[in-house]
Amino acid sequence: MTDEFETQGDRRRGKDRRSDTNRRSGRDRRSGTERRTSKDRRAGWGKVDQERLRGALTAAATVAHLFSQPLTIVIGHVDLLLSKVEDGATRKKLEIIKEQLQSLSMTLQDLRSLRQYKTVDLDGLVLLDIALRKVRKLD
Amino acid sequence: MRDAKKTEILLWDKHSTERELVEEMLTNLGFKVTAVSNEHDCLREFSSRKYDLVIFDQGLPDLDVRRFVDELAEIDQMTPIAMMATLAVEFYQERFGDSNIDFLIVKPFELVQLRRLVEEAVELAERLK
Repeated sequence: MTDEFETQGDRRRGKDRRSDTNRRSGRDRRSGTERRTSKDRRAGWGKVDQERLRGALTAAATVAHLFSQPLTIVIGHVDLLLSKVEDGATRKKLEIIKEQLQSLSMTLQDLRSLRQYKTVDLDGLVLLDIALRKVRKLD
Repeated sequence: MRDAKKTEILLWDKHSTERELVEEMLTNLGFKVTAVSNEHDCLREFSSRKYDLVIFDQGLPDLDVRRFVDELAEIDQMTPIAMMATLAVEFYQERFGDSNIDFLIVKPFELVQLRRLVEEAVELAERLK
């Protein structure tokens, strides 16, 4: 009888199951790049925090950059519609859309202003602390 | 401020949707706009007549911003130049603070911010005269 992984035959034949070529050697395990060196450990967590900040800044800049153009186009068209539309109900809806877009715009501004790695825990949901406090309006 | 209809703006944006929008926004504000889609046309237009403001989009992967604004300045150093940007102002100040860029307008922007930009640019041009 053979099993799916053909291990039982090996065991019966007394073959060393640890000889698998995919297996990492003792040296590999010690040289893992994710492993902190003793020098790192002596330096405390500062280096890790710096890396976290760098990652967060890169992600924040990417989001700010990629979201800016579509947001410009949507806000711009809403503004143009508001300058033309006279119907009260439509204007009110457009103003609500603009308010929400301004809120997104402020979040992008907060992402651009990110200078330190700080998180906020919303009952288990850990997020970057970028002024998640309230919805604000532009001047 | 001078009559808006007399204010001539040269707009360069490679992205057609954004270019058409910004052109419409500026026209809606009463300014006269010439919109172009590439660097060559922008420099040619700028050489052909006097503009009150040049607005261009920084988000082009193959654009050498410093060289481009230097070329504009060689044609006419007195015309204000504004760059549409997406990142923190400090980033651009560090990179282009000593360049010929006079104004940054950070996306996303609204009609009111675009009007303010043109007003400030026209004021600057008046002061430089």
